Amino acid sequence: MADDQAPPLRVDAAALLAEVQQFQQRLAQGVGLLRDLGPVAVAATPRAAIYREDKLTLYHYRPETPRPGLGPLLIVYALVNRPTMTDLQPDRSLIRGLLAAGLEVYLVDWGYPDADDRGLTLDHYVNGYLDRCVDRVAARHAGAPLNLLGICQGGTLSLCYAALHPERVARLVTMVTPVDFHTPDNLLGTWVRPLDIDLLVDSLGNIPGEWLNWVFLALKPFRLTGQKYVDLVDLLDDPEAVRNFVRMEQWIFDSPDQAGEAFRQFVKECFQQNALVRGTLELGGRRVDLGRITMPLLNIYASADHLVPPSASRPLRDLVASTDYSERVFRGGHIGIYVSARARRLPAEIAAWIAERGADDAVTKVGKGTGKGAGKSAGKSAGKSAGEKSGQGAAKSGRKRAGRKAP
Amino acid sequence: MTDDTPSYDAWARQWLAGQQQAWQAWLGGAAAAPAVDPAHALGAWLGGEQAALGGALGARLVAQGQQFLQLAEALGEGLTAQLQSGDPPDGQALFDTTVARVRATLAPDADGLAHPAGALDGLLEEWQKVAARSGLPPLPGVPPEAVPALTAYAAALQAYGACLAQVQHDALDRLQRELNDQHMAGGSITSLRALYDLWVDASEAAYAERATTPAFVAAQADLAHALCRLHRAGLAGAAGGAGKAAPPEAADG
Repeated sequence: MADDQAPPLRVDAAALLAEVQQFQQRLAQGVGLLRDLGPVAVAATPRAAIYREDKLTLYHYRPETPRPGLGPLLIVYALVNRPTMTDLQPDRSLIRGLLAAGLEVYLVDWGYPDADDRGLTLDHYVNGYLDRCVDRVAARHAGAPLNLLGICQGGTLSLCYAALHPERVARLVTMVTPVDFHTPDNLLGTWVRPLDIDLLVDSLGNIPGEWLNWVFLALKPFRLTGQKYVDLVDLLDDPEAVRNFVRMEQWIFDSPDQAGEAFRQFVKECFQQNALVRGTLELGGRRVDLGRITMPLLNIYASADHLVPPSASRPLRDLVASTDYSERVFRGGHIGIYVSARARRLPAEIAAWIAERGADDAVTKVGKGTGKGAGKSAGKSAGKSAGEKSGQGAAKSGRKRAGRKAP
Repeated sequence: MTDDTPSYDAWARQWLAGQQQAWQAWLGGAAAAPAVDPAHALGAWLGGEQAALGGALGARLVAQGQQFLQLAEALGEGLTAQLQSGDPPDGQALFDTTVARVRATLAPDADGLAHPAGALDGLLEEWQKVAARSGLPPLPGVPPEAVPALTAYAAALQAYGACLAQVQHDALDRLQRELNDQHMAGGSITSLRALYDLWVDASEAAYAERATTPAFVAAQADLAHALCRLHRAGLAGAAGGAGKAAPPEAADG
């Protein structure tokens, strides 16, 4: 022992009693506060639903002072969890920040899949729903290619979309997006690889949201199911802090079920076969070749992300053909990137990155890079209504499903 | 709630005063340990009020507050024993006693089954929600055809629980090492909260190491598979009893 006068644990009865009493007092008062807190609003930024299809809703957010030349920004969130994370609390809102920077923002809300959606595949999500959302946004902006911002799994879907439809995306931003699912520090990937996903999906149909929730909590169980509530006791005399805690808690436990076939495909192709990296992923009969991504790309990842470690995001650099690839490391975690104090700077940085690549210039670049041309893309969309385009998409794919537009 | 129920403020004041008196007497060596677990009492009073507590948040808060206070109780027991013996306070002995007490809760039961201690109750409760949503048949209603699958599921759950219990043993080893390292560097832990936070850090580090081992990964996957097989067996049994084909997946919708 280094010093007999200072034992490793120096807690006397008086100190312990004082601490217990203070804790009890805060707990008792805090529970009273929780009891009287009432409903807590999330996703409170004014918005308009401009398109609905099945469970999907496409929202539009209008900036008070639009900044010319930026083009519209379409946010694609993950299928797991809810997009309310992008607008969780008024003073820590990615969407509000983007609006304040003058961007016109659109958000894809995938909704809550149910038994009718069991058969939905990634092809339906990417080449169907997402493509039709792009149609809707493009139709409101003279058919110009748009900025696509994909978040987490939504970033993976956005990469698929940009690779399959490069002429429709002027600039691509990916946030905390998994690309390489087989890096050694990816705990989630390690767990998912031995799963018999056929057994899960064939048994359960859709995967219950509770299952995903449990997996996410299991990544750090002592903090996420224990310590954070003890920490909450320290906040219980601050009603606004408690409201923000409640907002986060509501988001965490608001996990939609996952459409069975899309989940099967995502797990098999991405988690188990690493098909995005290997270039073997196919959607709708077309190979997803990340080498077709030539538009400017900003890849944002979080240095302490326990869900999507940086090693899972960074390989994107070597997989795309874009000559204008940038990375931004956010010092924080998977959730802190939206709601931490540091996160407040991110929207302005995204807007600045877009502005530096001026809208007109970007369209030209896309045209040159893909060989298909932004002009062609613009003409194609501008000449038809979104509804017509939607029908065109169905004809192209040749796969129709009862009660649902085919991709 | 009946009209006789006191207001929350009045109840909380009364509860707090009673609890603090009991703790004071206990830690002064003048009384036995508080008879009623403090956080449990609070949770029990709030039992009918959960809907007004922001759903499950109040329940989680109270449950974890209880966990924290159980650590205080463990330390308090060691402290009162030292006070009653008349020996000078010994922080090392106090820590060792506390760790031994926690380890005892991890020991296998009479059937030789290991169980994770309360710190992971929250995680296991979330798993129960998974099981419920995945159509786990109610035990009295398990059809005979599903009994083997139920037995396999129970074994998988036990194997997973044993992995978690092992993590908690590892965590206590780490905590002891960390505390010793801090001591050698001239530092010491002076509050319950600092000890709790150090224990959580040690637990997460132990978990991160254990969670990537083939045994843990396999146990977790086996649990998922066993639940699915039980689900299928339950459905098949139910359908057989009704004389019709197995219905489609129960988790839908």
